[in-house]
Amino acid sequence: MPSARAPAFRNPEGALYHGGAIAYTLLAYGFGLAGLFHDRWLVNALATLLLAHGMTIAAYMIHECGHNTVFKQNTDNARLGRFLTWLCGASYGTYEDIRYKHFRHHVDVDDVVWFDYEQFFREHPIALRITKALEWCYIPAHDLLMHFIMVFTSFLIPERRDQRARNVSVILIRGGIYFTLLWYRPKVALLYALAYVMMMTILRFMDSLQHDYGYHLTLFSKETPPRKGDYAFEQEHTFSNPQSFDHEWINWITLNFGFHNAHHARPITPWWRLPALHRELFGGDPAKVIALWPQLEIFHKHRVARIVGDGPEGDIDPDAWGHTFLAAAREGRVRGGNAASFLTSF
Amino acid sequence: MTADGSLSGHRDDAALDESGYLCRRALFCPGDRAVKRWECQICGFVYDEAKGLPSEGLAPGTRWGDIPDDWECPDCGTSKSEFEMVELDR
Repeated sequence: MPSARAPAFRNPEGALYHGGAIAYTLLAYGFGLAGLFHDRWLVNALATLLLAHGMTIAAYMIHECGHNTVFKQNTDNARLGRFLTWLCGASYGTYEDIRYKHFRHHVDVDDVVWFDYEQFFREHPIALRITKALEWCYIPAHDLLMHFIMVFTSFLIPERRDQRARNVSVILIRGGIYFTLLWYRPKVALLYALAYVMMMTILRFMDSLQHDYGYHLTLFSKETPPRKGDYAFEQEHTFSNPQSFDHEWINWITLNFGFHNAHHARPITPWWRLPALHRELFGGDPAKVIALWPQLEIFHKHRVARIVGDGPEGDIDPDAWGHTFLAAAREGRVRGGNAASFLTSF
Repeated sequence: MTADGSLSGHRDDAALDESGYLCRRALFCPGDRAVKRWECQICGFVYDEAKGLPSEGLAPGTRWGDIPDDWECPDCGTSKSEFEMVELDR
């Protein structure tokens, strides 16, 4: 009979940092969800925030699992990653597909996708108009569209037809629970949806400025990636957007995901070591990162314009042409991008 | 005996150690013969020389140096150059 084996953390500090993040995720999700059932609105509001943040950390821990930074055994990382996809609503497709697309992003030095959303919006002007209207109201409609496709992944993506049984099972389980809630406890269902949208907003806020690659429809093609292994190009087109450069602990709110140059320079570095790695590789000059204020400014100012990127200088505002992306971003003069979440594996 | 007069498998040439020869250095420095583990710096995949990777045609005991340079990580597809030797507790 096989003996039960407790997963061992890959790094000595893993028990503290990864263990803490996992415990936080579970507690935040559990208490957050429970708080949605409370009668007092103040408790509901705090619980919604807690649930949203628990789901956010779950998403970033999936990213850690993908890079096998959590446990020594990669099978343990995969097990945790699969479990966490259930917490942040990314379980309709497979964890393996999430990893595959994410590694194509790293290895190909590209944003490798299947879904051409720009073409979709060109062909569906009404959908674009609705998306623009919702985005103007800060509703992340563009990413909701992406997650909607993810829910029906095996029916919409021909290469994933073999996942239909699993896909339908997840839809029935999650959909069944959600619609039961909606019927009997509509307030809880709506607050859950609000928490989910908040998680999505945090993830897209972080993703929006981290690369200026554009995307290529090569997820399922076998052609040789033209930039594979070009790590100089990768660093030139990767940008760090921490919440704070001076007070590093604040960045724990997104598990240091803003130290993105460091992550791309050494992707198996666990989250708590990224600020130190950034300083080791790039120094302590705050001019090498995009500060929080311009990030917020860009997020607000270009929330509609960034749905469909166009223009000869890509994402950079016309009044800042000639600047590098980083310089323009630091002045709040780039548009950024949507739909780059690693949870949407297509 | 070999053509150069040394005992077969006991050549005084440490460089051959990685190629599988049982050399003098290897006899007296067991650490040089110890199997090593190599970790992909992109995805964390670990190649263990002791186990090899039979699914990829690498038999147990295949040394890192014997793997072709165009070999790619079976997990993420990055190139062999993105691996680093690591000491990991078994």
